[in-house]
Amino acid sequence: MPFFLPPQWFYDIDNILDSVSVLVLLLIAFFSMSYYRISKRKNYLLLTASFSILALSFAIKVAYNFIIYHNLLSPLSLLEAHEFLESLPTFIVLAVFLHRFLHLVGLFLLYLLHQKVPKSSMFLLIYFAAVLTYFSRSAYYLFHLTTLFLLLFITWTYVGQWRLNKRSTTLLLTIGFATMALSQVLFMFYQITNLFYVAAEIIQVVAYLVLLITFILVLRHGKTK
Amino acid sequence: MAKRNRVQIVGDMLSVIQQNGGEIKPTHLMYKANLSHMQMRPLLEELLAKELVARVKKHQYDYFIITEKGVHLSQKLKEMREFEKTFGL
Repeated sequence: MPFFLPPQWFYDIDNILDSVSVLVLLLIAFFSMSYYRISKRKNYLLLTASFSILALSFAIKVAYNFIIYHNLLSPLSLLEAHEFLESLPTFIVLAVFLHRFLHLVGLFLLYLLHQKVPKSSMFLLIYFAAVLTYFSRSAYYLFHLTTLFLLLFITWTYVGQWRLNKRSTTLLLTIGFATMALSQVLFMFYQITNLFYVAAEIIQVVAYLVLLITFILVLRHGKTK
Repeated sequence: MAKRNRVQIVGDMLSVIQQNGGEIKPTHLMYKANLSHMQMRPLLEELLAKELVARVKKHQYDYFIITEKGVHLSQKLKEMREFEKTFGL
């Protein structure tokens, strides 16, 4: 499985940025769960599941990147590092797969939340996520391409939502998901130069910060009413 | 206007009491929260049982006052409604 490294100066910065995404996702998932406890509406549970799975996916990425940067790469020379990346240890490969699979499942669930499709189709989507994850082994961009499409569908759904309610918070949410989609476009090109990875990571964290601002505004609007 | 669910009605009831200075007569609550007597009675009993509101006697009339727990739930329900509208749930 091909694995590309970011520039050395960006080691750990990407982990910090991804950790911010984990915190934002967990925060929203936590509140959504507390709302589910009050209302018992399944949509809250689905949103909680989706955001928690996405958070877990990012956490796994942070963990395997940390291990690669600090435990596996640091004692190696440049040449050895290159050879190492050609044949990654099995547990790292599995961790990368798990990260991708969970990311796709999390987004599928978020997409399903707004569609009038039977929830049983969730299992079919999970199967497709598994298949895509497997094929992304040789073509990593397949994962980012699928993520991009899912994010575009989700963004489009929120555009429709915003047209109906004209809320500034829904507009911000739409911008957040559109920015996430943009980051996936950049991730697809990181084979060309690893600076694309840097740009994609920064744009992705901006997207999650927009999500955080949206959530803070939702709480504030709730308080002022 | 869409039909309100049970949680929304409870939220409206608590909100009406708050807007009325924290206390209200049952008939006023019924009108201001757009409820029938049949709808309001079991909900009010539930709110009393859960200590979200309390019954007090004032000038020979029954009043319902919102408790601290009720204020907290009302706040949470407003946040929840805002969250629901933003995320389109």
